[in-house]
Amino acid sequence: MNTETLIKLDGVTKVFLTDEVETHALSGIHMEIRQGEYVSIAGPSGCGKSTLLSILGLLDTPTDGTYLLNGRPVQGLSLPERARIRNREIGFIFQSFNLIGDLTVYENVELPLTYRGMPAAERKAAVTEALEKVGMAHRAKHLPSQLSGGQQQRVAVARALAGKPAVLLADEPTGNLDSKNGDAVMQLLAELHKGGATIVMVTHDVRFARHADRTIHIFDGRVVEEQVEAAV
Amino acid sequence: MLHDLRFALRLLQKNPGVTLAAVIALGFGIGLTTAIFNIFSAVLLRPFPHIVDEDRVVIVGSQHLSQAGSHDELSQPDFLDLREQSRTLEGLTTTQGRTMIFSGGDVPERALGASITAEGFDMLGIRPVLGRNFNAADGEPGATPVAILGHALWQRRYGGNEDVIGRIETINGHRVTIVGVMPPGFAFPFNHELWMPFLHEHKPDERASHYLPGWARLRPGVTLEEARAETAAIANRLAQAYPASNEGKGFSLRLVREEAAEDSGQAMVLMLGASLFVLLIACANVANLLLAKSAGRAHEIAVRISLGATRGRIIRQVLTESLVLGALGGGFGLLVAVWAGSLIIAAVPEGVMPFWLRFDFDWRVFVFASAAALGSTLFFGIFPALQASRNTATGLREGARAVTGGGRTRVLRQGLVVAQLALSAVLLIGAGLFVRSFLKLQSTPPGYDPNGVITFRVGMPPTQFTDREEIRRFFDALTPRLAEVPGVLAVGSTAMLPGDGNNSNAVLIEGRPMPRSIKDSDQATSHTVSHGYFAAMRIPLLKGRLFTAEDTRDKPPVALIDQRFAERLFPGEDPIGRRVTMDVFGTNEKGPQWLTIVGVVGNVPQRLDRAYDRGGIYRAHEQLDYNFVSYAARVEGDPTTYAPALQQAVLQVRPDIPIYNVQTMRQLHGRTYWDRKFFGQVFSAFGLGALFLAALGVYGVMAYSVTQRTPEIGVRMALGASEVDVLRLVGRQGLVLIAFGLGLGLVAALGLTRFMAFLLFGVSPSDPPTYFVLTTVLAGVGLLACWLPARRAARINPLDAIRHE
Repeated sequence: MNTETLIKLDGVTKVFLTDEVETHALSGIHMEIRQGEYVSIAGPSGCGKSTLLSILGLLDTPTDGTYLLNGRPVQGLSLPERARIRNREIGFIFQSFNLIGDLTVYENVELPLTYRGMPAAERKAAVTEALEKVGMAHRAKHLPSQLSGGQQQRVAVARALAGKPAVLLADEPTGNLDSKNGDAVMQLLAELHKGGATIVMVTHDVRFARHADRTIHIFDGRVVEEQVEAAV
Repeated sequence: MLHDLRFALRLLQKNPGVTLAAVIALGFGIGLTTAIFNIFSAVLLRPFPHIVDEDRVVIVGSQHLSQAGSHDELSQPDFLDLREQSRTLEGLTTTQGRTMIFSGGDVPERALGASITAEGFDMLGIRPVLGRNFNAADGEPGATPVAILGHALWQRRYGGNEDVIGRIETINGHRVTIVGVMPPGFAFPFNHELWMPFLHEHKPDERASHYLPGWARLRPGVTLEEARAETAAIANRLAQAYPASNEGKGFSLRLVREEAAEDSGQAMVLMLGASLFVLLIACANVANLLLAKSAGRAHEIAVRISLGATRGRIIRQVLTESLVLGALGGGFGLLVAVWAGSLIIAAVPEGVMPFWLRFDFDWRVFVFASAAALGSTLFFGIFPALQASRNTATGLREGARAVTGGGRTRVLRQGLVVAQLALSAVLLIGAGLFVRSFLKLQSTPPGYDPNGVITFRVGMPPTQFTDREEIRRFFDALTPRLAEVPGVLAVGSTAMLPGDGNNSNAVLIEGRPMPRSIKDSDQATSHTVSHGYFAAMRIPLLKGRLFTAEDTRDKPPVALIDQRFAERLFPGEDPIGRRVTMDVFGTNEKGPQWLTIVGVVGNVPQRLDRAYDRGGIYRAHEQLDYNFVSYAARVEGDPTTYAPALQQAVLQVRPDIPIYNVQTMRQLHGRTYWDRKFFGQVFSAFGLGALFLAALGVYGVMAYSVTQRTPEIGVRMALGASEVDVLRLVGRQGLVLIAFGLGLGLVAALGLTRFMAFLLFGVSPSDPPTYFVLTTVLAGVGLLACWLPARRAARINPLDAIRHE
């Protein structure tokens, strides 16, 4: 395994101010994730794990602390710069798939590559490779509404993979799936990890958390425990 | 039904923003349309006030049988013959406008009067509110002079005192007994306020002079066609008896309503059509608003269906809500109609509208407003009603999300916006053509300098002053006296100011062949002016000389021609010294009077908005006799302040002669072309209203779309879409709508604006700059309306957007 640090959080804090009430969603998070690592972030509902994932995915900014991605501080970047890094370095897998209903499977997977300005021929190769990797190449021309939930999530994974991001961030990827489809998606992530992908997955399901190399337990906005799995 | 109504009221209360927006949009649409309908109704539908049984009152004139639909006034002998011979018409009446001067008081007062055939008021069915009508004896030669007062004059001059009946006044130098007062608002035939009987002297030599307008009533049981057949037979007999003047001539009979419709019907239809466009745009807006709102009602509708509501029941429920909205919009619309109506009427200068035009609201207006509200309700209410009812079954099967977010609704909403944009484009382009037409008119050089000139009319009524020498002495003394008024730089008189009437004459150049008929003759606009007129109006001399004080009656008669006349009748020749006559057909027993052309002046068309191809010829006032003239005085400073000094100067010459129609040349210019300004203003208001509503429509659809697409936009941003990518995504959708709307609008405008060609001046209905500029404006406003939601979309926090899902 490559041991180079990909993500480093140092004293990351996130405070929400609602009606003059400060809510500390994250308090002094220190965390390192190495390249090729499969990390799950676990914890009960409202503990701050999704906020953490949003900060990791540059969808949100910390109130305090530093965030180094590939050794570069990213917590204070401008919106366009954050969008550029999201597009190139991060692949998202959402709980509710978030496929765009009016676009075909192929077009959904192609979308982040078009934002990158990738030439059409390269896009085609990348999309085909990603869809083949998740076993959805045969449904490329279908609309999301014509797919099952499990298939939709596989397409979402393909979309996250297509741009060959540095890290895949999965937010409760099995949350909207039945157990059979949930297992299949977890299997897919495991295979991707074996292929060298760095994965950070948020889950509240201990069963799925065990698929990761390491589980970081969050409670009340703080890291309360780190657990390294013996075997996957 | 009561339950539906209660629920509808509750829903409208729950969404005050939507309700207010809908009521305002509808109110403006219904209000503008109703205000225009009120004018349309006043001109074309409402019975003429004071005239009894107007369907039997006809306007009688003469016509050239070779020109179908032509209409001219009657000659005096023809009038008398027709009155004597016709058995289908009764009370054949004529009028002649006259200046009537009250004297005997401290200052003379001029009233716009008319002499009218003694039976005229009985024929119309009008009864005085005080005193009596004229009777046949009043119209006999030698009868005691009598007069009837208009109501406003009675109030103004006599303070409404009923003792006025029997009072003897000095009018135009005659002692006249006041015998009656007409009801308020009556001012027949146009805006006259004092009447005296028309004395029908027989003038057999005036059979070719057509100057008497005619009115008559069809006898009971007689149809218009029967009357036309009878008058045709009479015309035939007159043609045989007087072939020189009457050959090829007939009588024309038209209902008074036909006349009104012919004069302004097309313009009225145009205005009503434009206002209906605004209403349609408003309805499309409200429909869109309700479609958007119904998105949030999917669950409620699904529940209703699950509880057993039929499709018809759902439609009724939603339509009831629309009906309440329509009623509120209609009520607000009536207020808007009153406001807009008063603005529109205020834009019309005083004195240009006939007495019979009344703009007070009657039942027709209320019926129209109600119909407009109901029609609008059906138009804007049917889409959300059908949508809700059609989708509920799906909603029950697939969950509430599917109910209103369907592609069909999206297409419908976008279609409505496209329609709004297309209608707005037509209205804006129409408005642009009117405005451009008006600006073109304003920038057309009139041939004189209208700034710093005050004008007034003055004269000596022919019924009072018969001594030509006395009249000459008056004008000979008046002109130098006016020139002495401090601040007056130059002063001159004319029989006819530019823009104030037209007088066309046949002309013949000496040595050229005599035309066979008037039709074959050269025509020119005939002016009679004093020698100071050109300086006062700053009309340039191009060649030769102007009139001088030496061009008097005892000197050889002279004429000036304008540039157009010279180009047309003397191409490549020098007109100076050539002779021309205006007595082409030899009515002068001594033979034609030849006028020597002494100069060429610049063109001054009587109407700038009509082709000036005839040219003009000027005769010297000092060589002709006139009873009434208009004076033009160029002054220092504000010309409007000179009226008292000028009146005083006139009174110093003749204490019994008032001045009237006092106005600056700028004011006269404004009155002459008021209709073009009026249409420009009305259509601009429509165009701007349409632009605003269309922009609101585009904004509404785009904003709604952005709301609907927020999760999608969030996902795109999470995947790396930049602000520009999102702006492009949303903007593209708006651009497609705008392109479709403008495309349709341009095609429709090209088709529809040709119907307004008759109201345009110097601008083609397909004028490319107007189309380009206004299409650009509409596209710009549309893009701005897109940009606001697009910018909002680009600033969406992707995290919030994804959570929105």
